[in-house]
Amino acid sequence: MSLSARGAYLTLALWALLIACAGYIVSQKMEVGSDLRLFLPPPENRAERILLEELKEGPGTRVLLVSLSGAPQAELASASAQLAENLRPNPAFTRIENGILHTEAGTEKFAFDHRYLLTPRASGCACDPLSLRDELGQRLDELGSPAGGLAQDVLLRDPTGEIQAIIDAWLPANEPQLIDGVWFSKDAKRALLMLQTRGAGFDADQQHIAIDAIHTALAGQPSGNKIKLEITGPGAFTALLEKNTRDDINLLGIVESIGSLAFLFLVLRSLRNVVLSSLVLATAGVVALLGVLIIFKTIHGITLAFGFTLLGVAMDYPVHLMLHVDEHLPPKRCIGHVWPTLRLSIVTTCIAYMALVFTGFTGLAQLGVFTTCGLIATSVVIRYIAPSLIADHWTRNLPTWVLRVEHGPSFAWLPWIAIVIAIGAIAFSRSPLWDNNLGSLTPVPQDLQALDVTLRQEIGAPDLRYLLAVSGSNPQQVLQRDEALRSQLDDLVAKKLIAGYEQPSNQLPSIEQQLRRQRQLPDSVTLKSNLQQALAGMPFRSDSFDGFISDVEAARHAAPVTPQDLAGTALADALSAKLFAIGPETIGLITLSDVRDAAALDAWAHRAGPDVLLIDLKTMSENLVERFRARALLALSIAMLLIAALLVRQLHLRAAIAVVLPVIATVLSVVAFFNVIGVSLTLFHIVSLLLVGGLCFDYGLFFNRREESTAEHDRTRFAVMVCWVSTSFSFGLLTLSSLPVLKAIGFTVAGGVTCGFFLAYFSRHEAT
Amino acid sequence: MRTLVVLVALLLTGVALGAEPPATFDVPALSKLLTRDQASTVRFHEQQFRKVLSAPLERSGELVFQPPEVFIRRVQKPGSEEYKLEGDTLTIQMGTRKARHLSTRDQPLLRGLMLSFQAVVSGKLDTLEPYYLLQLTGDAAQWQLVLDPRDAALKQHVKRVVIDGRESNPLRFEVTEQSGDRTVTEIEP
Repeated sequence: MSLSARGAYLTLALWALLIACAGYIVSQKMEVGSDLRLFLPPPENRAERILLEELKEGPGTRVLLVSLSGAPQAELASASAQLAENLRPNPAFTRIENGILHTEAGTEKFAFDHRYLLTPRASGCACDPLSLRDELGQRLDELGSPAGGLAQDVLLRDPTGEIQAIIDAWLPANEPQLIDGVWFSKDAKRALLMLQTRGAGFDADQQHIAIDAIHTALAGQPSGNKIKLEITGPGAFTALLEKNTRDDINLLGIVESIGSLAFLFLVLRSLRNVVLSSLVLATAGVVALLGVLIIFKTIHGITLAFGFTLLGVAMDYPVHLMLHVDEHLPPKRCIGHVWPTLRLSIVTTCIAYMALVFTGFTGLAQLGVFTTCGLIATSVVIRYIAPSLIADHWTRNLPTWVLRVEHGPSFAWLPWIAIVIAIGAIAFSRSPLWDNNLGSLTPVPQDLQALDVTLRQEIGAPDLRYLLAVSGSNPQQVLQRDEALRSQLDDLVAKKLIAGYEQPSNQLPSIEQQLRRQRQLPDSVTLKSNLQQALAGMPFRSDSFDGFISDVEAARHAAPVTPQDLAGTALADALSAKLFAIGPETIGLITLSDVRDAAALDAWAHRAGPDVLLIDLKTMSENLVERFRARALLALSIAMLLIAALLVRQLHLRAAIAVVLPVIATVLSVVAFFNVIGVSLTLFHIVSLLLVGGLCFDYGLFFNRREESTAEHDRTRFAVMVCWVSTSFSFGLLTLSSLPVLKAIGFTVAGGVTCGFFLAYFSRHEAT
Repeated sequence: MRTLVVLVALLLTGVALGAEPPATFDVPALSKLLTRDQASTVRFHEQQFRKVLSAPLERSGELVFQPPEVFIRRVQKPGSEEYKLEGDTLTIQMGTRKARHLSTRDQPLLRGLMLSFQAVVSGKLDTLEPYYLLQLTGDAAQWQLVLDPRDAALKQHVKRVVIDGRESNPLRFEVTEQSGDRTVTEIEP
């Protein structure tokens, strides 16, 4: 006996409430991560370790390039200056450069206090009589300058100008031209700024905050509305993509939900059953989320997206149950009837999804857990709860056109033809099958990419693809090696292999170098006498330099500056981005700008020694994607074998073949189709194909089950058709999105299930 | 008799109406006097008296003003230096060394000091308002403008700036610093 109508509605309402509460609690506690490394294989060598570190923390990935245009030069210059001023105190940014080097007071004071150890000058402090005289002459000139009096104290304590030498060393190698004190492009039409965000490049939330801050700051200016603001850089791309994806998904999601519900109502003709179906799916979703959160504590954004996609399989189960209910098969009996097929379907799908857990990638493991939990929840609900909630005497009479359609013919050889054609097409096609570009996961519009390249070259921002890595067993060793490479690097610039470079030792010289400088400092007596000689004939009073003498004496006994000492200054951030530990090793990164000949650079790196490495982030990331894919496909293949074995045990051989073959044919056909039209397959295609496989498998299982009557056969046909149409509709909607990723998923699934439906139907094995 | 009174009255009225009240010579008037539309070049001679120096530091050269915003100070004796102020950017070229750029936006002290000079040369005395209290004595023929810093940062360093001039030419700038050091610049129009 199923529940009375009132009892059923009450149960449904309570269930809905429970799900809503659970869903709310889960969404509040849920932390959605965006660390791409969860989807990448563990690094196998030093270069890959550096790549993964770069992906997360790389200085290059956090740089935003800003261009202001569309107004007269003076306005652009003033806008740039005001923008920089407004944004400097904002904690979202660690560095803002727009022209004249801006050093904040704390950093300058630190550098001044340690100037005799930090100086880049090879001779130490230029404290011999001749050099002193030369320097003093220059200081005298400076004193005579318009605001010389302002700098008088500094001049007297640092007559040899060490602090200026240090600040000069911080200047980037090639700067854009300065107009009105700010950077302008070569054609003087754009004011340029370079900003470094605190948040990682692919952390969409942080990037949104930073980018919004830039827009707000510009809008707040008087002529802000007239100026065209363009922002490029990895962070900008991430933010843009995330927003577009979110917008599209929201819109399409709403349309799809309404459409699906409407369609379901059209099919089932019962509000109660539509609600029931929706609740089954909602329950699956919530349980899936709970499963992942309990085991992993967080969930990755990609897992969330793929997970719900793959749970699409669960939408079909309630339909199968409900459409088989008729006057001879009330719900409670019906479930017993269709349960074997449903169970087989759920078990095989779980095997496939669980295979993902065993690939070893946390991201895929999350996906596996998510979908498996969802499916188990679905199966429990369908088996034990749903039948009681369907009205006892409810049935959906088949529409007459279903009954009128003849049982189509069946060709067992059909899938084979499809397989052969597909393999042939793939073999003869010239486009690459797989897309290894990590960047395809976040495709960026062409014009934005072109703008990024232009701005990057103009500003001299670090190259995103190539990096030099110096390795050592500790930071000091790395810094020393880095310093030793300087003349060779200058050579590379002279030979035009690169336009410029930035080294960690620019931020902080090694202790060895600092000690060398220290040794060159003369003692007080010698210094005083040198000073006397140098001052001869100069209008300086001899006691004016007492501060200088005591500072040099203090520097002679001072402890060298270590990376830890920099804490609290801007130098600390700048250094830690370029000097860090990976495991037992320390790595120093030399960023390059405008690499013109990668091959020659690589050859140089080889000659320079085993501890110098040219890292090609693009090629390496492609290798990683390949390894990832290989592992994922391996796991899935093993799952396929298990499934095949299971099938053969449950059904007899010919039926098993009739189920499996169309699935293989469909998948291969879809792959061949994409390959022939020139689209390379990405991770998204693989996941979509996994869903297609699962759905077509279900179709096959239902078309090939032993049926007791023609009526049942008709019902099965109707049910599978409904599933096919609703899936095609849901995913077909995605093809309307402007985003290549969503389009890809949409085409793959909608096209795949259509192909699969017909192949499964026309090759079914009719048991006699 | 009555006609004579009327005539005298008319005459006096005419005199009263015809004569203009004496013009007060105030800052806006000086501003107007000093405003220059065309580029101009003058020679200067400067002396700095500093406690750390045993003798005054002397400089001489040219000062160039290109309206509206470019000021160039070219030192020719001793050595050769050029300081160019264009808007907010100060470009310093000392001898053959690499040109150095500074932004006065980041340094209000420098800006206040440069302004005391710029404003007088270009005639835009109103730009001094936020930084200095202005006191003008004398008349158009011979005037003295005294600037007392009101901006806190500027006040810490500069005690007073005194500018003497005749007609539309500033002739002498004297900057006195809180430390007692003085800079005196004399200009040949």
